Amino acid sequence: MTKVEQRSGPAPSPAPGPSADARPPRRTHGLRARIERFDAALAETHPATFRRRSAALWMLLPTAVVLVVFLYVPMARTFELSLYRTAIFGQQRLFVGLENFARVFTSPESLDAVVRTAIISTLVIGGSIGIALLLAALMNQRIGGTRIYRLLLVWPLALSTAISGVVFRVMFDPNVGLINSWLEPLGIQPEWFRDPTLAQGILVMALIWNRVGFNLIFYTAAYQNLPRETLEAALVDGATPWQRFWRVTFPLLSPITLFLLVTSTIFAFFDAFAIAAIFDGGPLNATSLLIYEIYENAFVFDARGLAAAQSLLLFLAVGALTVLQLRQGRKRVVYQ
Amino acid sequence: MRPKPLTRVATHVALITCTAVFIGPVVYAAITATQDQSAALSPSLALGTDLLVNVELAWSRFRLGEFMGNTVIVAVTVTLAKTVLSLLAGAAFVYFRFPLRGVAFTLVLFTLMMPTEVLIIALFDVVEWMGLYGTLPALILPFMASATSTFLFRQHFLRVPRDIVEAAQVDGAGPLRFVRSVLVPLSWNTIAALAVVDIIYIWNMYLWPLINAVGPESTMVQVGLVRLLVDQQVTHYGVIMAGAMLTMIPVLVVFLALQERFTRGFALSTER
Repeated sequence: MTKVEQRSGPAPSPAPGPSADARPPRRTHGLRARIERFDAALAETHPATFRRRSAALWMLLPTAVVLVVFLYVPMARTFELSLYRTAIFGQQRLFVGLENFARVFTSPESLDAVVRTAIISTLVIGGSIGIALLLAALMNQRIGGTRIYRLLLVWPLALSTAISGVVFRVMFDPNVGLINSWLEPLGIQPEWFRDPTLAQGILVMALIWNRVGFNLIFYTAAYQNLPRETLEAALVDGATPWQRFWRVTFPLLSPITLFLLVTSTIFAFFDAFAIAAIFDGGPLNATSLLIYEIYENAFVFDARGLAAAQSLLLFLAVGALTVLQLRQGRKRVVYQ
Repeated sequence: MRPKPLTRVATHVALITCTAVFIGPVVYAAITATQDQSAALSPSLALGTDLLVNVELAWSRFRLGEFMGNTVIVAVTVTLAKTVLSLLAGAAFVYFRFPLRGVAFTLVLFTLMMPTEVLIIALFDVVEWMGLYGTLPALILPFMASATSTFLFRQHFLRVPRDIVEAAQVDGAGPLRFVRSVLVPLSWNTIAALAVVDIIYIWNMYLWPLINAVGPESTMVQVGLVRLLVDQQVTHYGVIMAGAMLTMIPVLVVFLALQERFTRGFALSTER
């Protein structure tokens, strides 16, 4: 793991990071190989403290049981379900191989949902990370008042995603909402929830609004732990603020950006369900994200096989990003 | 070096504008929460005097108090259990050598890619099969273990200076006493940082609580509040917004109390 916190001064124990150069690798890539290398490095710096192995078993057991029963078993069952066409909520089923996966991309409604989810998620992820980074950068200009801004900007985070949806729904209510009363002098009264594009706009806005606070607290924490010497060196070099940000600060923040990329993706894929559900996925399916389709297919339309295949598509996307993050996270950011 | 005065003013203006946009909807919700029915059903932004009436209605008549109790029980139990389980697992990975340790750790890490929502159909089957469907344990048990927390505790323990560990060894402390009297006191920042994230996570959960909300005894407050609006059980927006304001309080309290520790906890262990 990258160590943003590492400062000068007496180094603690040798860096526990799996520095690739620590010892000759047996296998050079793959998560297993990485962890084996890490293990070997660890054995040198952290010899076994306790010998009674049974104690380790008892300490690991509760976590293992929960992960197996509530994650691994359902995961296996999702794979299984995705290969069947089911009826009467699973009472009857027929093996159909990969038919459900084909339907994800060939059935027009499902394909629309995939595309819609990709676009909306990209906007939400980019918007919530970009705005948080901008705010964190502005707040860290030594201008004073930072604490107050930070305190106020996390308020939307305390309103859960579902409740944010409720507030936005009321605010944009065409008859009694605040927004249309402001627009009245201009002579326009949009029907926010009858126009697909407008409804999607509100969905994206509400999601970004709800998430920026989360990303901001991580960026602020990261900012406060940037190595002073490096930043000051850049100052002495006479770099412009713009250059300092993109060449020094942004690379130093990259581990946290990567972490937020994964958490924001999970947010945009899954937590977004709450607001999509409040909008009933409408109008004309405009806010029907994949996760909303999964819910409807599984629990309303009795198409559990298709829902399982759609779930696995989201799983693949999250998995790919997580692997990317773990890989990058293991390369150490060089700044000294 | 402080920025030039003009830059400072411009930065403040930009920040004030953004802050206004971000707290605008919260302020609007708070004002509506104080209004009587006719004002709440108009776009008026005048403060009303009905705050307590609305809170009382939301809390008792529409049972948000009960639902909030459920959410608090789930949040507290999950956070405590997650902390204990992950702390023990993290310590086991650092302070013991045992066969297949690398494989076990990989299997824990792998669950980072499995958000519960991906597995929702099968999770429903598992929970129903266990006879837990529609109960509070169905909202608690699946979330008691965490790859993120285990990983972060392990990262944190790897930085505990070796001489502290050796001192404990010389004292002859067993594993559990070592965890309790050495690791826990050294880990409060990490524990607090993770608690903040856990509580935000539980407060934000919606899909699984919605599926599991069979009766009032297993309804979480976010589900209950949305129902008030969507099923048009309440057409008085003042009551709905009063409910929304109530749900903010616990998260704000936790966040304000743990803010400094959060910063320090994540500073030390960063990114998962």
